[in-house]
Amino acid sequence: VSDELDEVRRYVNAIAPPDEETMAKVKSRVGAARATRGIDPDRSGPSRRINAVRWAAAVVVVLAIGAALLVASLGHHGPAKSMGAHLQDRLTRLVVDDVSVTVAAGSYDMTFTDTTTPATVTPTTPCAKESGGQGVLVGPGQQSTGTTAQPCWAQTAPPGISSSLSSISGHGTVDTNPYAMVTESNVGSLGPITLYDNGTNVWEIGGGDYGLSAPGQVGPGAPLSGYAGSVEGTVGQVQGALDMEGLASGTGYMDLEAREIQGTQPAGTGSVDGVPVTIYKLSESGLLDPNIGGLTSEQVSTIRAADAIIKSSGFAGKTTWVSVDSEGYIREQKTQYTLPDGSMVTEDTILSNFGCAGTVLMPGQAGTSAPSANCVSPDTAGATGTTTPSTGSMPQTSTSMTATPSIPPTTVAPTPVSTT
Amino acid sequence: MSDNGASAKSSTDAVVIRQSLLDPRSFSLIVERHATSIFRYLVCRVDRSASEDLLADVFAAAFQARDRYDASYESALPWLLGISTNVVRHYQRSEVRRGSMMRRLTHLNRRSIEVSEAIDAVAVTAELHDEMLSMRRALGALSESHRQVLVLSAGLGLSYEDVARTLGIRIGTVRSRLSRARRRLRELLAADGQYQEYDESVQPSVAEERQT
Repeated sequence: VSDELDEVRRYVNAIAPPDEETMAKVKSRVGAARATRGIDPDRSGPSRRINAVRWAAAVVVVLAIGAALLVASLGHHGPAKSMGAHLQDRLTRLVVDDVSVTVAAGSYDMTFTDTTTPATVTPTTPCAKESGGQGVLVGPGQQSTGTTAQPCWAQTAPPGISSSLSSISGHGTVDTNPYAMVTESNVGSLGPITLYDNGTNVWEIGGGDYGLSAPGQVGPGAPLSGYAGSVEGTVGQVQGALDMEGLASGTGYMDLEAREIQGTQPAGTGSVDGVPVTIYKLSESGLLDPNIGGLTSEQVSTIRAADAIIKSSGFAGKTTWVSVDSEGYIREQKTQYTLPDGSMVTEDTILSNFGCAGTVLMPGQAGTSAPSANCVSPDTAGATGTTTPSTGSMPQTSTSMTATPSIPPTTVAPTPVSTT
Repeated sequence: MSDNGASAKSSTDAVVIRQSLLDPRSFSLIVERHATSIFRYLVCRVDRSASEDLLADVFAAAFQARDRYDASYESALPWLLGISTNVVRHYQRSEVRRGSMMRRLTHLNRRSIEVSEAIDAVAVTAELHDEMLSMRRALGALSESHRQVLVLSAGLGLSYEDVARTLGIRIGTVRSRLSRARRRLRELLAADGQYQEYDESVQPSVAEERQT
């Protein structure tokens, strides 16, 4: 007869350990706690008591509101949320936590490719590259190599959008606290554009030279909200408003915010830069909340103006696939949406070098941009990264990038500006 | 972080937790070390699906409370198990409340959420043979306090002192509770056919029972 305690031990040891997904959730939650609280060594007894009193008061208020809502809901509705909605809420919270983890890293590099597919499609249009002309725009999954005639999108641009602007790629660096972003993009016939954004002012070097006091003179920059006119006039009003939401989000191109997310579904697994990721598919309104804390007045007014345009346009929302690694860092964000004019936009942003991307300096700003020599990012990627198609339904693309994008000092600014 | 990575891996939990006050990322080492034990404890208390969620709650709570960790304890496992106990208690209360509210709202005869049913949903690695099934049933039929002490002591190998610390009870109480739990477990296993004879020698002495 075996000892019952041995039996208990055997039984407990036979319980399967938590799977990778569960461990990823744990790390994500701890990372979120790290982001929301961080180091707080000064917490003392009295402050805890004060906090406890505050919490108690808050709980009373919440309970009162909850009771009122419950009474109201009993009068009008049946059961509360379905289990499916409950799961979606949980997944959404997870993704929001992951955004917090990524933002809490302090900085990251990014590469991005935005493609606009015009609404008008002529399947038989040859896709040969015209001599001396712009590269031929192709649809997702299509090839543009060689001169063999093949079905592709026509080059007819939708009203307000120049076909030469239909594909934008670039790279950049984002600091999250304080917010500062620099990107270098290749924008069709406009050529390279370097954009600096600190949440209040913008400097566009190249393109329309917005924010420059004179060609070659960077000056103090110009208000972020005023940049909307330039962007919307170039890429179209709704597309421009969506772009401005990203610029005003405080997270650069990773403009994910809780209120914007309308639904979240698991979308399989994959890898980005060789790092295993879990992929979530989000439905987003495209609208940001101007009332969340930490935004500058310029960001608030920019978001409000962009929200108004998006709402009035009948914009149907965005679908975004977010790839999150086991540490909770968002490695890739891929977004697709259709503009009211029927053109389809695909945006792909790959993030890397979390916490070690250095300090972004605005034009004329003094300081050191290089990260500390001891800084080690959780990245384990090599120099070239590719996005491995996931097992989910994420659009299958491949993106070449450098692991550590470097923005060279601009040739326009009189003061040398450098980032990483 | 990486500079300290090698040394951190050989450090005690107390040292790692102290380091995590300056370098929060080092707390992930605590997660790696104890996630499996905590998870198994949770699975013995609630169903596996809930355990997957609660595991994150436990470590998030631990991270936030790490500045209050008593560094005189080298291993953080009892501390984490104590947090797990509180997290499970909170979860079970909320589940009961939710079940009650759902019944009121829907007037459906929704099945009550009982630990015995949750235990029945325990999943293990391989196919459970008869003994394991029998053990699962027996553990599920035990009282909450008996199951706790058995899983902590026999299942996870904690000392009496650590079990006492985890549950916030005296060592004497741990001994007597464990003794009664063993007796009850044997009764249940015997009733299930696993033990044909009841071994009187494992019965706790009267003195031991009164020690509590």
